[in-house]
Amino acid sequence: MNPRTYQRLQALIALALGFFILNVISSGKLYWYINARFAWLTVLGMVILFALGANMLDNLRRTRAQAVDEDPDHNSHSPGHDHAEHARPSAWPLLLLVLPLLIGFLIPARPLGSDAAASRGVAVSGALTSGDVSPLLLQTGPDQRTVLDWIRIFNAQTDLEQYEGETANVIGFVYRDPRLGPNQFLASRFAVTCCVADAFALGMLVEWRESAALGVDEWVQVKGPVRIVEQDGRKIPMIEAESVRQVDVPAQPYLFP
Amino acid sequence: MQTSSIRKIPRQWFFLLALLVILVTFPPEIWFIVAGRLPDFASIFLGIFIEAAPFLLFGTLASGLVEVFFSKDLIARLIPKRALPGTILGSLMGIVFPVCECGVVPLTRRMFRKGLPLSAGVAFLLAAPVINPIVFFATASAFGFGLMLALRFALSMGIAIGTGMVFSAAQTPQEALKPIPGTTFIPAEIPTVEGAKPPLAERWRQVLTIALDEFFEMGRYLVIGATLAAAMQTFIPQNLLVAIGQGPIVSVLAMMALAVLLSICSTVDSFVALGFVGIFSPGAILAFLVFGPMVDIKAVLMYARVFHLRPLLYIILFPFLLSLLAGILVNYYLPGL
Repeated sequence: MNPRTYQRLQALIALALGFFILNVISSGKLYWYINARFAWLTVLGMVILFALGANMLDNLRRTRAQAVDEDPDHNSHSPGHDHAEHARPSAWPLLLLVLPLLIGFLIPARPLGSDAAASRGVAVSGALTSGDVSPLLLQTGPDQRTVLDWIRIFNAQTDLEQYEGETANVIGFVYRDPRLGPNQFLASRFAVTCCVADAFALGMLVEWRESAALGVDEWVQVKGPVRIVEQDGRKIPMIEAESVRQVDVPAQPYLFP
Repeated sequence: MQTSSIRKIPRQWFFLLALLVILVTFPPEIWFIVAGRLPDFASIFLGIFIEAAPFLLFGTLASGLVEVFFSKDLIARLIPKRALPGTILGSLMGIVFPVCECGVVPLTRRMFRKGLPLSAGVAFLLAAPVINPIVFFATASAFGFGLMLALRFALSMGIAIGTGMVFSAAQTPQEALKPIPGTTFIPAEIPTVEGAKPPLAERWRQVLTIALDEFFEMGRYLVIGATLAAAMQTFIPQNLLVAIGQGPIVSVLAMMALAVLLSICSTVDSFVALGFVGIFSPGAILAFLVFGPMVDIKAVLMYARVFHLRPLLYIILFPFLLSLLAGILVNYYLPGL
């Protein structure tokens, strides 16, 4: 490929990637991919991409006059250096960086759901963070707690009786595990520490007489008193649902621990 | 010149053709499953790409800054001549350059060209993704200030220094390194003669131009690595690996394989490792934390761009064997870690 064409493509792709990230941010879908605490990094990365692309456009503009005089294959400022390293650049590496754009535009975006949960396994308890539960979390009202909060509390607390009967109010997608009873499902969320690659699925057991009528991956809001049940020797929370209401996919489908 | 570009193109097409042949042999049912999971694949791919791209961009900017603003004398003055002190210093440079495994490769390559000794550079390459303040706090917040944190840092440093020392016999980095293919306006070697320095604005333009070049050169490995990791996660159930979680040796191997395949950034891998505590033996968790930042799909692809085959093998094999050994020893002698 002609080096100038190569450079034009470099600038074009860098700017396109920048606009793609801008689009992801402005459409509110950034949190479908990464934890919110890294959002500023993404913005910074976008700015760098724009700067790199604009700088290359500027290079091309400033050297245009020079380039018409020269052999189009030789574009370097320094006449003395070795041209062996400056072989005609191949287009392949450039095309690979178009892949994120193609994947972003051609495959419909959707937060992870039951398929991914099935392949990773859903935790109903377990060590999510080794640290103690922060006192702040224990002060939150029961109806403010997310699936993650409930599992954390049950993971860290020994005297769980005080939580028995509190009314939970959680949002999650419907996940059915073959080991569950016919009137049960898991109200599940993915927790994302950094990006979707490290997502792990969490679920709260829900007992609801019309469980069978719920579609897999449907997002629901579950309200009802919490009961303590034992599973594999561990105490886990279960919601005796009084109401299960269909809701839209939340703006932040993942929880950020 | 012409012959090499003629030889190159059919090889790429050949790979595509082979891939196509493998793909059409799959039964059609699989395609329905694959199509249904494509959105998950896209989510994970874009998750890794969007998360890692800023770090890669910082690395390429750092690399451009080193190329334009660092002189060879500066590095020669800062890094001790003798191999061992130089290598130890190299393993600690991550404290000053907090780059993760995406950014460290382009930066190291530029520093080699500025006269960084091979052994110090290899130690930097392997240690920097862990021996830096960001990863220290991430690991501490996941595992607390305990033995896991101490062992992760001690082993990462030890392995980086050990592997670096293997290269101390090399006279010049060029023995082990592939040349940097320059493609832009920036000549392969910017003249650093005193008095002939271009104006500051011009030098910043050079930094950005180098950074763009390196973004494309290294970015493709990020794309390939993210594709493989996302495909792995989408189409292969993790329970398969988890099923072998407790054997004292097998579990270590399994977690190391997982580290390679997941290709998660070192700044967050401790949180991922936390998800495996209890399922996997402590030695396996430690091996994951030590080996993962040194060797994973995207890092290996980037290393392969920089090093010739034999040095590349050393850089993969030594950390592999030493992490495996450490993991197994922990399982036998510190099972309560």
